[in-house]
Amino acid sequence: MAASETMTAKGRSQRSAAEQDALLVARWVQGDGRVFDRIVSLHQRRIAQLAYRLLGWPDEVEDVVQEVFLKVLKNLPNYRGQSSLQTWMTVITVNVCRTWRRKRLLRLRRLKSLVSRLPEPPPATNTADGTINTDTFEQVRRAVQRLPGRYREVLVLRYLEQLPIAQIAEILHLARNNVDVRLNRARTLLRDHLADLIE
Amino acid sequence: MAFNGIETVLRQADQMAGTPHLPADLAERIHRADRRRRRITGSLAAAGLILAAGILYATASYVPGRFGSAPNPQPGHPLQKVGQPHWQDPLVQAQIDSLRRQVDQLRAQADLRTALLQEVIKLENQRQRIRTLERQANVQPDPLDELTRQVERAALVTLYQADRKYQELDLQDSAIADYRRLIELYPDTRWAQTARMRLATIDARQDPQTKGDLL
Repeated sequence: MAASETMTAKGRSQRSAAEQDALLVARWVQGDGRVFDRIVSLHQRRIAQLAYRLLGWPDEVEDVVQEVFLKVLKNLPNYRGQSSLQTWMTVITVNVCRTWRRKRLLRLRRLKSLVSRLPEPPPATNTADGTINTDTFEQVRRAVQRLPGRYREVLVLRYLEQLPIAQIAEILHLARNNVDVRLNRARTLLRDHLADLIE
Repeated sequence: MAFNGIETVLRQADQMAGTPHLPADLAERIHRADRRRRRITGSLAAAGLILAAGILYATASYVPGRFGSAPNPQPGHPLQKVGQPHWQDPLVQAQIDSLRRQVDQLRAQADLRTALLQEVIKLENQRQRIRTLERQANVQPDPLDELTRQVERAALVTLYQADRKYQELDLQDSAIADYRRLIELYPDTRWAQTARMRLATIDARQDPQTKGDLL
């Protein structure tokens, strides 16, 4: 009962957010430039959290978030309303994170010859109450960052953003079956990397 | 302690990671970055245009040999081993000569057409002036003048077609026939005089034995 009430409240809040987004876009189309600031303040926290997760919890995501909103600012006149503003911005965030990660990999390859191999992380130990400690967090972070982007995206969107499979398929331009397949492979890969942590 | 699933580990790690720090004036920063990006894009576009214009200007004003010919390498010099520069290759030289001839021919054709066009424009201007004067004087055009104009126009069309046959389509016999018909049908027009000059030119280029047969 309580769960269904929670779901109803969540759906209602999502619907009102979608209506608010539609209203904002309409005002933007009419030439109200201040609308963009409102869009930023409404979505910045969610976008930052998503980018933070997609990139494997790096130290800094401000540049990525700024790049996402720059793209939103540039492409807002072309927004046709075929999907919700939230989904549209999620797609942009995923794409910006892919580009950012590619650039970072290229930089790292250039520096690879200069940097000595990093020491292996110490064996993970957890607290008695089942919560994660700093070393384990580092191990999980490394494992997540080592995952190929296509697998990390579905893991983050499914387990951390808690999006339904249909919406993930829409965001990643995939069929639902493909999302399921990627999710399975991502789980298997991550389980291999974190074999000592997972039962 | 081990966790009982990927999902749990991920959520625990996510909780531990916390929330990312964001500046309070993010919107203002985005606007500043957007303005900066626009400025940079505009500057790059302007620089590209200037560069392209410079290259075009340099290409257009390039004169072969202006900066001196290529130095002739001394025997034993490393350049000597490479062989002849490519512009001294006989094949390349022949291609260059052929292209030059084509350019000369095209230039001659263009000159011819320009001259013809200038004459037509001049004639049209004269007519325009006459029409204006006629309108001002409220005088009806003379039917004889109108007839003369029609004859001139027909002669010009014939001349143009004959020129085209001779210059572009390589139909020399047909072109000569057209020139003759023009002289025969419109003998008193200025275009008939032009046709006579064309025939004389063609005659001069032909075999000396047949010289004089055309006229």
